[in-house]
Amino acid sequence: MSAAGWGRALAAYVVALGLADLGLAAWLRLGGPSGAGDGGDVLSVWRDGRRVARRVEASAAGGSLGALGSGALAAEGAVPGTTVVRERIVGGGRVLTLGRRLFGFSFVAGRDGLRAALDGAVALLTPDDLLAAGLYRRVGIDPDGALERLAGELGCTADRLWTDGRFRRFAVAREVLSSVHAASPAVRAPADGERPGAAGDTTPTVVGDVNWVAAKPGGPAPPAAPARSAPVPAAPGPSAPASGPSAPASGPSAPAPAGSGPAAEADARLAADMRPTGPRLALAVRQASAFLMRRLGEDGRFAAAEGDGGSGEPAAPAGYDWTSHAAATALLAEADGVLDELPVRIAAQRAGLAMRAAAFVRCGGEACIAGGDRAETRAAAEAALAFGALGAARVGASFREPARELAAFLRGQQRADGGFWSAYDRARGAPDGDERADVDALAALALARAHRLTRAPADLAAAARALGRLARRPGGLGARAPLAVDPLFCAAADEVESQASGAPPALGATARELCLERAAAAAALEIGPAPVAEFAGGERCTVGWMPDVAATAARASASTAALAMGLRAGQSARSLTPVGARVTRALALLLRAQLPGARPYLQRDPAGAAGGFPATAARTEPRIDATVAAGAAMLGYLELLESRAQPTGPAGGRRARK
Amino acid sequence: MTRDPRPPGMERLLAAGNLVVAVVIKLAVFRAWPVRVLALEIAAGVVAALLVGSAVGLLLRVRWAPAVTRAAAVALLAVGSVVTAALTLGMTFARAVAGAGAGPGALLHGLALALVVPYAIGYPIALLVWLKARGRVG
Repeated sequence: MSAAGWGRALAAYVVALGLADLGLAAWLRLGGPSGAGDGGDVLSVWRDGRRVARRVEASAAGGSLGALGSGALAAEGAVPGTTVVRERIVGGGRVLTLGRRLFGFSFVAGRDGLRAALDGAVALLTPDDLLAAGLYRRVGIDPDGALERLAGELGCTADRLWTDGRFRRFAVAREVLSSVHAASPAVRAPADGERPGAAGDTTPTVVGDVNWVAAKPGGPAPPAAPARSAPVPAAPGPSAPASGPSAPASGPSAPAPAGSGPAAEADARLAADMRPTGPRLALAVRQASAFLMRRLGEDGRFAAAEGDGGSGEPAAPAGYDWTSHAAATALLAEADGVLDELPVRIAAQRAGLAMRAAAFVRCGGEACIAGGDRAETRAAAEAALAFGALGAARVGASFREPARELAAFLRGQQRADGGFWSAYDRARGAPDGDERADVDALAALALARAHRLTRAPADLAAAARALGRLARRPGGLGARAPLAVDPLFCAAADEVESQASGAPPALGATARELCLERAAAAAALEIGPAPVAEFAGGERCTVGWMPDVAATAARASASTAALAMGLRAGQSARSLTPVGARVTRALALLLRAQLPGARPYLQRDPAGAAGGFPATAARTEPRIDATVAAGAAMLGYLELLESRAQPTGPAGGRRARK
Repeated sequence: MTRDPRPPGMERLLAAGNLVVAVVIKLAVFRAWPVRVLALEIAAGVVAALLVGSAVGLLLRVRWAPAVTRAAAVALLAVGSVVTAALTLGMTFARAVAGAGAGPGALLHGLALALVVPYAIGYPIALLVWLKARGRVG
């Protein structure tokens, strides 16, 4: 074939492909209710996280409880602890059924429901159903789980439904018709129109602009968000004292105010505001602390510290994860620094004492954290952070020496090139393992924070050397620190800068520039708009639209540290607005993701989960690791706000209260 | 082994091009692509092997070089057409599912095609055109 012939063939290929694209887009488009069975209202009655009744109506019947009529649905709706929700189907679309995996990808997680028809019968899985059953995935839905559920409702096997059934997806507008509160877990569920971001990404960016100081914790309360203007009942909010079945009975009581009174009402009003202002973030930190305290047992160990977080069962001592324990302890201690509340302090100290008693062992001449012969540098660094935070309190003197010893151990783990050995072999009495960037960054952060207590120049110098190595760009290529360690790396660099205050060891501009460069790139590369308004501001781990809570918190932490360094270096707040706006959007997503969230009726124990964070925005099970990550991000931003108001130092103003 | 007496300039250039495309295919399918799909790996392996064989033949200027080069070009064009179609339809699928304004944007769509089309479609067509011109001259 000649060149001209190939050109014609190529043109024909491009045209055919373009037409196929257009056809596929039109065929899959999520349009309005059509004649294919879309449309109508789905009335569901929820109790204890389970759907106890449902009625599907062809058309709207008004927005009141009268829509339930006088039958079984109305009777169920009158039982205490019951929430009646109407999901109005506002659009439908086709799905691909060429394979189950492709079928699952045909849905937007968190937004789309699934309708199946077989032999004239129809079954629906609404977004609430899919969320309650945990069938949303980072991309789409779990096809096998959804088919099993639908088959159960239609009285057939999943294979038969897959072979002979017809499927469509649909979008809904959700409205809570009534919520008859039970005695304890009373959390109001807002309707779609009241949810933050319902009309798109409306998160204000003013906090990320020059008004950071105005949002200082303890400052005047911000005006209520217009999107949440509906009155909030004075029932106990998500920060209510532990009363759920998963809460250890002997755990310290949560610091939240009692279920009634002006304080609770003020908290409920504040909780309805999803803007990441200082007071709102402080409330979220308090709620996260309350969640962790409910997971803290009498023995000072966290239930499900391995991170599954769903069962609420105490972890087996043999497999106990002291690294996660230390991270949760550090968060509680840091939260105490902001909240200055006795129950939080007691809980943090109980967790710290448990760690010191059970895992604080000797590695050669130094102290370390280990359950066997191998001591991980990461565990020691997390423990140093926890002991350091505990030791900063006036009553935390007993934790200062362990913090010093762990800092000495970390310095002993440092190699000549500035990196750290990732472990210590207690049997051989020598450092072991390879070098990892995340361990380097965490050790640097731990040493820099330890310097607050020890005032030992060696600690700060060791941290600076590690950061210098991570910021270096071997061969002119990318920095040794990968993006994933940004939160630790930038927090450590910020800490070293603030501790050094211009004196040696000079960190230089490299680390700061790297953090600001990456924060600016993250702000510029934020992909949007998301198909689900609530997902705005989130950070994804993989493809799909589902924001990952830990990844979002990590980005917020890293960018907050970059902001702090930029401001300290003399950059104007206005010039950093894109980064600040990105941080506030991420924090707003975290506020929206905090449990019990917008749909407490989908959870078996909303009071027990209150304050915790799930792994993604479409899960309802709290996880300790996600809660720690989100809490740390919020604390970092609160510290930035406070340092802007009090330029004398980030820690001085808070500890003076004790 | 019979050698071609004509000047070797273009053959060397195309041999280098074949090796570059083979390396790109190997990196894309066996390193960058996170999902292991046997059919894709077999197709990529066959195409890469043909390209390497063609490069060796072109460098050594042996008689069988044009035949192997033609086979490599046709295989690359076939696989490239399928991959390009799958890529563009996949992105259209993602955009259609997510709805208006969401999904991979036109810029990302164009960028992905710009990274694939030159290797997977443009290059094999250039090889086939060159083979035809070479045959006419020969």
